[in-house]
Amino acid sequence: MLKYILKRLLMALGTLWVIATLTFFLMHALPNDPFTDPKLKPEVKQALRVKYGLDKPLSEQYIIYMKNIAKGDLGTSIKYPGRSVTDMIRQSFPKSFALGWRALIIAVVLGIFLGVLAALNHQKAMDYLSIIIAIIGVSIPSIILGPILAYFFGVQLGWFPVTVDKTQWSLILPSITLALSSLATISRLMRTTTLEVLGQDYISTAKSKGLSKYQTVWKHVLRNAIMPVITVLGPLFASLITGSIVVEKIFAVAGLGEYFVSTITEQDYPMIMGITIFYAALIILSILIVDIVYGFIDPRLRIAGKGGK
Amino acid sequence: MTDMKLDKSDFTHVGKNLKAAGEIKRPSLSYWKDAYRRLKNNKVAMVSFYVLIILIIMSIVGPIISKSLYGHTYDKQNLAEQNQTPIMSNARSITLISNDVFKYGEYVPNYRKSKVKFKNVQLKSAGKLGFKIGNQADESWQGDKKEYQLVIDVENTDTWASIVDKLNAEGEKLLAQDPDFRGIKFDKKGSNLVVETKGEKWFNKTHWFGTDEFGRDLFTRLWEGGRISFFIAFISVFITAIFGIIYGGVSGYIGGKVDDLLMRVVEILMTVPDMLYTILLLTVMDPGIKPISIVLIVTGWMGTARIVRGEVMRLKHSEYVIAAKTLGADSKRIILKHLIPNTMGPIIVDMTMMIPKMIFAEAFLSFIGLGVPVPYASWGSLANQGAKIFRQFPHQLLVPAIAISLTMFAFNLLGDGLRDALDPRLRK
Repeated sequence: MLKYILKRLLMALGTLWVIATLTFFLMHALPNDPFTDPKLKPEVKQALRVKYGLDKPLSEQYIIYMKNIAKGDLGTSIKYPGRSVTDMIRQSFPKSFALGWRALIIAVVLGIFLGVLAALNHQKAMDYLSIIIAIIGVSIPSIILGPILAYFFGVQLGWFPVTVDKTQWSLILPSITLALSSLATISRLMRTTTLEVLGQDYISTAKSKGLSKYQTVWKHVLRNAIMPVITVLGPLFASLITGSIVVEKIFAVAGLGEYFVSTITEQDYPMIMGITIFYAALIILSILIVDIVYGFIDPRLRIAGKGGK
Repeated sequence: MTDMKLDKSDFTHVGKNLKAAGEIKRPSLSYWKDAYRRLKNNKVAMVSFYVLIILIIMSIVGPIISKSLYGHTYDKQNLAEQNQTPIMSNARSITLISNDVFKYGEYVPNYRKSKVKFKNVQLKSAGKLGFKIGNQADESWQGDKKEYQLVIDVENTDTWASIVDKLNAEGEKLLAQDPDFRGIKFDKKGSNLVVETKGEKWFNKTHWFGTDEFGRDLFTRLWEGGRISFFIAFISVFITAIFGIIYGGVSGYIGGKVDDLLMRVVEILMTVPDMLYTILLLTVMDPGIKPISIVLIVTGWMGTARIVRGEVMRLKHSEYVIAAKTLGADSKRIILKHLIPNTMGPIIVDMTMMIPKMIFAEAFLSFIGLGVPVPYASWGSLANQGAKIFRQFPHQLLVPAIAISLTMFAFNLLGDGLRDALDPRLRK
């Protein structure tokens, strides 16, 4: 088990290094540097370059950058001097996180519930309902769903605020928008795996032992069917993070995602770089955690780990 | 159970019919014919297929139709025809200009403000109550830049019923003075005050789907956008597939150390969050169709490579490939005759499922401002524009939204159908 965790950890670190390096060289492959304002005098430009260390040779810049990242310093904004990327993340990420965990819970809980319900009522109304939700979820992108939800429930019916303020209530629409496609993925997967498990011999055994339907589902079906869902949680987290970039823009959340979009339009390269690396680290970390948790939960992997192949 | 007497004379010996036993009753079907037969029986998949065909044909001919009929092009601006809706109405907008009379909880206009609702109204005091009917700046497309004022004086003795009557009477008076006013109706429904102007409705004959904020024809832009979106999706999926097939095929066929190395590279690249990379790459490149396609290819080929490698690995050790090898077939023959045709099924399913993902990715990129540059239209950039003024003019979002969603629906359902049809294990 320890070996497995170590291997995963090393791979995660390796990926992170690849990402940081790629990001660094991509940003430096740009034809023009960030100080393209024609009004700037050449001397000022030169001074700025020295200030941000852009006058040094590329290899030296790379080493400095890597050292800084290792220390947790992701650089400073060029458009807003004095503002560091780390500060920016500290300030705006909690808002994104508040949205993200709600969406994750909606997607996981409702998705599992819908999927199991559909499989238990195979080819009945409930099943078709869950299939329809799943297809809608993968077919309507959040850039469309968001404004439509905001219009009908926010403007026309007036049930929810259209933009996010400090209240819990205002987070409902963006969370649903963010959760829907993940919800669809989970319910679809859960339906398939539950159907598979329901066809297994040990379910027939459980039934013939005289277990009630509820007990069979809770003790045997759910525990076995839920395993594949855990494996997709990592990638799901990644799609929630990228999804939140759009959703935050639609509902004006003022989180990291919305800020990321504005840095892209402002071409604030250190910011883009820093936030990308932060996002990447977050995604890799979540996948790592999911993998390790999976290793603990799945008895087959646990034994394989002990066997120490 | 009833007793049944069976006698030997009840049975006759029919003898052996060797000819019939040797006969093949069903015509032999090739894999593809069989798959096609099964796909044809799947109604949902077939409907999706035809929907897609229609969407693709419209993307090709749509801009040509509107150009030859009305001379619209995707980038021709006409500021006199801004923000037209598919169904036009000449009902005038309503604006509250002076109000000493009542308090209200909420103000809910419809998108052209030709019907407005004041929720939970309460009488406050006597004074002036005035509305502006029509708006010179806002309604230029109607052809007459007229504005009217409807003002009444409310006294302390007035009740809601008498106020509504006064307002309606004032409206009639305006209509009698100028028939162009077209009429207005005030109504108190429960605790809400509802105001609605009258007008005719007609189908927008020159701009079938309306126009955008620059007066550009949305019908033309939608199908022009379809061209770009489909083009980006198809070209990136096609190149992705070719690259994935070669990479995965080599990895799976050679196996051993090469496979280890190649797959480790894929594994690492797959842990890199692709959307972030798409964004990063596009900030470095200039926006356009080509960079978007390139970026989508660069971030998308790993999945296909993995699928192909898996299939090739599986097939490599199958009996018929071993048999072919024993019979002396060389690698070229085995790859071309056995491996490629037999991996086509999963590849086709993968490609079908990837197209909506590409369209979605393109829409996503356009939405955050990394899409095709103006004045080009893609479905994503149309949706982005529409989302900005969705509350005033919902049609500008709904038109591309329906197109995107329909395409996604159709490709997903067709992909499901294809998977069922191409997987012989699901044969009933």
